[in-house]
Amino acid sequence: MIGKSDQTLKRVANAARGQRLTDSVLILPFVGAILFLLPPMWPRASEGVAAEGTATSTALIYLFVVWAGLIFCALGLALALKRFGVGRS
Amino acid sequence: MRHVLLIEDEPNIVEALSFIFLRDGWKVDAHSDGANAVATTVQTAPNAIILDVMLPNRSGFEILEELRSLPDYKDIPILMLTARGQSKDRDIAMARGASQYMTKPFSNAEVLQTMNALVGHLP
Amino acid sequence: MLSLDLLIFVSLIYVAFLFGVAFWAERASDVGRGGWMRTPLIYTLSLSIYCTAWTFYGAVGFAARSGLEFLTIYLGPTVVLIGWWLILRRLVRIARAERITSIADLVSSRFGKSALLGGLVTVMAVVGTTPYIALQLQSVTTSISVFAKGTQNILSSTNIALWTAAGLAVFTILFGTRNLDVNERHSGVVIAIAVEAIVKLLALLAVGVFVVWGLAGGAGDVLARIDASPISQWEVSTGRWIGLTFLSAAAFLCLPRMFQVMVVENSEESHLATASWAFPLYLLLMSLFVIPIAVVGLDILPAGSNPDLFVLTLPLSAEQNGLAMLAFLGGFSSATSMVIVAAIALSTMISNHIVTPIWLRSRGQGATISGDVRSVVLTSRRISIIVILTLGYLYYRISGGGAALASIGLISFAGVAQILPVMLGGIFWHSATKIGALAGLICGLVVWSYTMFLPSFGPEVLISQETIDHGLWGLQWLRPTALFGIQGLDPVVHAVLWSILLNSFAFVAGSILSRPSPLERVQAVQFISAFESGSSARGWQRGATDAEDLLSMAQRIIGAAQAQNLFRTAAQRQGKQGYLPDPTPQFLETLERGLAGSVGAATAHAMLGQMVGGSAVTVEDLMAVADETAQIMEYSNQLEAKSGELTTTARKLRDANDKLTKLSIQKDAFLSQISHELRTPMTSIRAFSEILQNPDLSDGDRPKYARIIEDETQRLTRLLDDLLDLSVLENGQVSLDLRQARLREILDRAQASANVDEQIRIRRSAGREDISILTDPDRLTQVFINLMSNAAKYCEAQRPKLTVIVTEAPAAITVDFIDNGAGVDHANQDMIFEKFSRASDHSKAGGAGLGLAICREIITNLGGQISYLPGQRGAAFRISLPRD
Repeated sequence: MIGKSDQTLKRVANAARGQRLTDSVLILPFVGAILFLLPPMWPRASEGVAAEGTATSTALIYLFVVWAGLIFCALGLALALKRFGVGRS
Repeated sequence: MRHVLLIEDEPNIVEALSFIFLRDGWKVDAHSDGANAVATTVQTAPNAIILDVMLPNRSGFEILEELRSLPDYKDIPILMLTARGQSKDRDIAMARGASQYMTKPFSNAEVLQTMNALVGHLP
Repeated sequence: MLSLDLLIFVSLIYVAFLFGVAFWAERASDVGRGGWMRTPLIYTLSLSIYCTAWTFYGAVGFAARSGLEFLTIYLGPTVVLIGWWLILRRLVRIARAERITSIADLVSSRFGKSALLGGLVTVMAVVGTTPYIALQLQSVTTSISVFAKGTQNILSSTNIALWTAAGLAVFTILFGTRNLDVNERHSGVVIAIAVEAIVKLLALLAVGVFVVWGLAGGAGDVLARIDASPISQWEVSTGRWIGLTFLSAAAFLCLPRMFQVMVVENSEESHLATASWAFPLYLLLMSLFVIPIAVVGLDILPAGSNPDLFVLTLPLSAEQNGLAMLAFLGGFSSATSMVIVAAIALSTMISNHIVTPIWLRSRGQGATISGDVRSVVLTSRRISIIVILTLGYLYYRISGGGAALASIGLISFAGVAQILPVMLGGIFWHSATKIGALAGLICGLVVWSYTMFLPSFGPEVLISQETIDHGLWGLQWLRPTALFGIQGLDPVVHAVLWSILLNSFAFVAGSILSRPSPLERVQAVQFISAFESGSSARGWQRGATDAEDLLSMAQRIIGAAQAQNLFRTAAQRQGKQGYLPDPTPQFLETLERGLAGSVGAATAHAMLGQMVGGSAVTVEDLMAVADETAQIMEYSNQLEAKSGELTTTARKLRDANDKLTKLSIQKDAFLSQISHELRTPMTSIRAFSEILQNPDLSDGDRPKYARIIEDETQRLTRLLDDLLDLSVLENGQVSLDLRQARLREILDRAQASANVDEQIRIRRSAGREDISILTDPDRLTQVFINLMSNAAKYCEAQRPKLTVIVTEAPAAITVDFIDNGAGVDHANQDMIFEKFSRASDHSKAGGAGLGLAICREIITNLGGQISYLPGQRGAAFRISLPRD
């Protein structure tokens, strides 16, 4: 009896965790999109005054760091989903 | 005694045949229906039969066949009479064991002669 | 400098190597050793066809011109994959369940299997992909021309493009249409693409590493050079940044080649989870060195060098011939893999949605399921591939190969992105309808063509300068670059904004305003609930069918060799010898997938369903089949009609034959009867004539016998009269004495003549008989007498009774004679009107059995009918006479 209810609890907990994971996966692109859309909002060079604008190198590093971060998150979520068997039919 | 059973449904023909055979000294019985002709035969126990082919309810051929299957009537003289006049009727009749076969209309003398020949030694 | 000959020689070896890899992979998969090809890694690598020559060469050019803007092309797909692969998974699942073969198939299937939509999406895909293929040909040509610089060679640039196109067509036909089996996927092609993916990544990374650490002084130096370069400042417009990111994300989902590798060739949903991070990583690596290469190229190479070719020209300028060769192969790989997959995807679409429907229609009768479908489909796919590459080549020739790679790529992206609203609406929105989809697609196509595609050829080629400057028909608000008077937008953003907006609007409006057909509703539920329902396929149960039947069916559809192979492999897997595996659910599923490629998914499912019987055939199965095989069914309906006709004819023939046989028997019987009827009275006459010759007859006997002779003579005369009467009536030579008479009088006369009142009670209703009728009263009396005497003779009831009922109808008068006897049994009802047919005892009848035959002839001559009326408890005859 105890074993059975334990199993049920576990299953409920797993399902809840799976739901959280799935939600995170769906949120991730929004996070990515917002982060990717930041650079154009940054100040621009006007009338050839370079110091006022945003350097390409800065934006480059920013974008690649964000990119790598997103990939890392996606990897983590994919592994987690696999471990909890979520997303399988 | 010569005793003939007429199995024939036409009353006029029965009357004519009866007249001929009675005058020749035969005992005559007549039966007009196909259905219980065999029973009548057994009942009256004739020693010769004149059998029509086209009878009500049962054909003369069937009656002939049944009679020939009975031990008592295996050899009894049977003259088949038919009005249909087709040669295959003759074949059927002879194959089923008719002693003689004649087509209507017949000559009285011929019928009498044939029957006497078939019955032979009887007085 | 690398010699051009060497370059071409190495290229040919590389191509031969790819052929070898593809061939070997096909073989391995044929013998069942292809499991390793279905791994997440291979799947991810095959997605890399997203990165074409545009990426390989064009991205650097893009970067050199517009800085970081090129990144949008990779950020879009990254955003889609990292999280929204769950959406992709939905696509994959739907495609699996519905056995979708292309994006056109998806749209067509979702909206009630509409052939029109399928064709439209196909056309859009072809139009959108053609520039892209041209772009690949152009990149190969220009890259070779880098090496050809200064050397005289027979190879002109058009020649190179032509040979490349031809070579690609051969490869694609060899490995893309080797068999018809779409669901079995193209192992050879996928493996070759994976190899090419690795080659292009390694090449670009190698060039990047060489540029950063060989030409420049490491990462710090490169960053410094960036800051010093013309693209040191962030200058990307917000609109373009957002617009291009969105566009690339949309194109990633809608490009026919992406749909092919991502959805159709997908063998396992879980591969998507791996691709969700691995493919963005691939993209990141591909774009990592783009800016450094661009910056260093701008820095080192002479001004005016084509930045699209920096990847090649930088190693060459440093005399790194080996690296340049690798870079060339990388670019070559990018171009060829894209073209191959695009050609396969497009040829499937063209053949399934354009050629086959037209072919089926042109045959007019629908296709019977046989080998000829197979050969038509295969041939049409092969021809389609050639046509697609020819189109690409022509576009390359017409556009002159001058435009920058990036701008051509964007035109394509925007073209295929028009499918996005309909595709997403189709899988998420219940109310989306076919009309809406058509409206959206056409609207998007028109706007895209007008604002982007047509102007791309330059002024005066397909669209006049006049129109570009002043709008269509001189309407300013219809200017291709400033629709509705909105100016100042980037042309690409302008085109994408308006086309997608108007497209979506038309789609939504059309869907709301129209009503879906039943099949659309069913498909909508099927698509949208594909995910919730959780079951990926309509599974087979172990069916009660014979493997041999299945084999003979499969041979007819996919060809003998392939069918036998499929069966033997399955049997081996079950541990059996020979060709006949047990029909397990797994085997049936394999078989169905095998058949689907050649006759269509729904048909394959239905055929198996019919043979196996054990499957749960659902409503949507039936409807899918009904739709997909509508033509086949129409054809078979015609056949059925014909066979129905045949059956009817055969039945008529059989009836006629029966009748003839009966007639022939009747003729014999008739002769016998005539003979009998004539001979019987003659027998009596002869016998008594002979008797009468006896002198010693009693006085009583003599007149008696004379009377008999007289009776029999009369009987003979009667018989001859009847026969003559009948003969006259039958030949229609009778002269009728037609006049007005009262029915009651005729009946009275008949009753008096028949003189049967002692034998049978005749009940009549005098009131109803008071009818005047145009007829031959004597003949009619004759008929009535006959019927009354018959009733008197044959009715065996205790108290015989004959009821005569007269009924007046507008068109006819019926007279029924119904007695209370035993009636005529069913078997004889047909025969009683025939001559000499007497149902019973003929001595009792006293006639020759000609009475009813004569009655029938008389009534027919009077224009009426006589028939036996069954179900009246006694014998019943109905005479119907026409009213004058």
